[in-house]
Amino acid sequence: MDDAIVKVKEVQFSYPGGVNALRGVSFEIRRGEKVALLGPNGSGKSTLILLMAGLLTPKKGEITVFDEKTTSKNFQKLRQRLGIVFQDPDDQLFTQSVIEDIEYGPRNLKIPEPEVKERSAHILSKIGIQHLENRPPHRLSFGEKKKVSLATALVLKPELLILDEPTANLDLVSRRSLIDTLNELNCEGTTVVVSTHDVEALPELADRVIVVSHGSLLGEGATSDVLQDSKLLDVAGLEPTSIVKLFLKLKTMGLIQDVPITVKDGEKKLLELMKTKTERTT
Amino acid sequence: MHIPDGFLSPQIIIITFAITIIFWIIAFKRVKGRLDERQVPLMGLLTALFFAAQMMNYPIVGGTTAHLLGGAALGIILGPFAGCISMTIILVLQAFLFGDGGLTALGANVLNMGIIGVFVPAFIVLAFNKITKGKGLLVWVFIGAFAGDVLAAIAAGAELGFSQPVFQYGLNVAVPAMAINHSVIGVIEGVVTAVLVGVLLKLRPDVLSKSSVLKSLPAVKAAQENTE
Amino acid sequence: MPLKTSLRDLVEGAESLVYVEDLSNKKGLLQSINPLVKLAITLFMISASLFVPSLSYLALMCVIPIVLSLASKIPLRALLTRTALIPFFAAVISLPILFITSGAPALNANFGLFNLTVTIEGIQRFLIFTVRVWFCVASLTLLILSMGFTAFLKMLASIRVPSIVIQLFSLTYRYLFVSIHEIQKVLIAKEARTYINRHTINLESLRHSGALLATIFIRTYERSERVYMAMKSRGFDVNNTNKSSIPPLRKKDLLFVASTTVIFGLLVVL
Repeated sequence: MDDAIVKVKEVQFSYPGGVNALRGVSFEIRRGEKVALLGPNGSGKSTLILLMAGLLTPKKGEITVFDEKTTSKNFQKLRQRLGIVFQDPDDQLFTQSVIEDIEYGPRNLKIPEPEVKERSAHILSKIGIQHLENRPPHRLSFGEKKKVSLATALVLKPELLILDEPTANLDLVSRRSLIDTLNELNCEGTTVVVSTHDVEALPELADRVIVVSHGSLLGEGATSDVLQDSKLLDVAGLEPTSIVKLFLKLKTMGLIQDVPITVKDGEKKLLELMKTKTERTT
Repeated sequence: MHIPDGFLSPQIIIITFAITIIFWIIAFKRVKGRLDERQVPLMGLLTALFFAAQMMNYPIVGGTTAHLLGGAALGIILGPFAGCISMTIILVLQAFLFGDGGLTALGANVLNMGIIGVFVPAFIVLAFNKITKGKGLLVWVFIGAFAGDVLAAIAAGAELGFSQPVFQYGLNVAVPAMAINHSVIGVIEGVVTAVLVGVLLKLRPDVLSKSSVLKSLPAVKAAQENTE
Repeated sequence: MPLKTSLRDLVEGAESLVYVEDLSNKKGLLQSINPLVKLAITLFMISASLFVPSLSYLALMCVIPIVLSLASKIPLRALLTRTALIPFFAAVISLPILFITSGAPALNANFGLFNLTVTIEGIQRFLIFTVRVWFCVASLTLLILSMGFTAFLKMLASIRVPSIVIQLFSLTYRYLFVSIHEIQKVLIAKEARTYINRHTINLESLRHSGALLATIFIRTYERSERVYMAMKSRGFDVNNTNKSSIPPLRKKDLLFVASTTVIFGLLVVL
């Protein structure tokens, strides 16, 4: 079987009023990957996500997900294998209670009632929102709504999980727990695709990054490579994280060879550096 | 204009419910037959918006207040049948959530504000749109919305007037009192609805392409073709 | 539109809804009754009151909502404050009745040219109307305060309202809160830029509120497209909507119907 579960080929799209959202974008996503679509606001990331989920139809080009074109009639049947989490949880939660929203998808897909109950109970405890079960969405905080949104997608046990700006507006604790959940899912085999302009969260959110700006693909590569590519980030209207900036400086000074991208690796690097320094002086 | 319980006689209650139920059935069949899936959330969200907009009161002369009814806007933008369902949802929720309008008076309130207040503006705009070919549209939107509110008030006055002895006053008092009182609201409704339609036509004519009343306008047609 | 009153109206509306949600979750008598049975009883009580021509019976009937509210852990204060406005309005509009009804004079006031006479029949008609309106409003208010929105949707399903319409009701209630929030945001943002706080309305302020409504309309339209996609991504199909479950009738409900009818019957016989 082909390893690529998402194939985007020369896709173009424009919104009513003639706004060109995408002008010919191609890339692939392989099974089990953790990929980020990186780009500033209005770059076309969200549009790409909706196209990948078969919710919008490309004007030109085509997208295949699980070897099925998103425009084909059979695509509806693949819904179960594909979970999508919208940026604004008020778009995602449209029923009267948390539990009703979580069970909405499984019920529509005609999963037997006992299994629906079992799945929703499992997901409530996995995300840690049992206490919110009967709460109506308008009585949840933003962070709680985000968690419930994730649960409504995960309850379908998707093989491919797509999230639009998952870390936007989240406080640090919620962000931490979201990233942990996503990584846990990825370890269990779920392919995770996120769109983001949150460069700081990138090292933990993705192994590979696809950079999009003004509706075009600017480049792609391993997260550590993209984060060090100031030129690429600059063209996309973004800039490297503080830690990368710091170590890039040290690199240009000739003190180190490779640039760490996480705080943990950075700390290790610094200690190493200090050690060699003290060794040299003594 | 929301008639509470205890104001209408049993005869009027039965008659108004009978007329309203017939309209409900017709409107539901019409809407269901042509329902595009996207219209389900669209109708739900727009109904919520106009419900919220109705919660705000405008101060009018002498310390009294008035709020929009929204029937004209919903009838013109969604079309009269979908508009009727949308207004019905608002009126039922106002009764069952806020006690605004009674249960036994629900038939009358829907007849006044959800049928007369929706169909009259929609038909006035539709008719004059055909005659004047879209010229002076906003003037007709104003007239339609004004007429819708005033006629709805006159209908409410008539229902009350015919409800003697449960209600205290006859037609000669109830009808003029309601009509005069609500002509002020009619003017407010007319201006706000005309501005709303005008701004939408200018900024996003495509959002009006599903309206059976406005879809024949050149600007709306052009926007519709652009999206396809 | 003055910002203060608009914001106050919106906040009060939302608070009232949340208050009802809390009350309807209490474990009281009315809360435990099948919603359809509650609706039927309320309609029965309101309709029956229209046929009662005697003031003393009507006054006696007013005990029923008070007893029911006590049995349902609904604070009497909530019932009384929520039932004050409409009967007050009814009283104001029926004031002239006191003077124009012919009958035995009860009070006489002479203002030179005018000679105002309040008749006993006038007082009776006035009171019958006002007390009846209070009874009706109180009955409906009890229904509202004891029925949460989920129960309301179940009631709609019980009277065979099509499931697509029930879904519309559900979406309307859910997004009412979002709309209230959105209007508040736009109002505050506008106020922050213009610093105008008018207390009367004129053409200019109406034009502003029309334009404001258009802004929120467009946002709502766009949100509805995203909500559609969110529904679609979880298998929404307009011809295949989930049916809401209909709550069964239990012994308790029948007992409630029986006891209410008996109390009414007794009132009529007495």
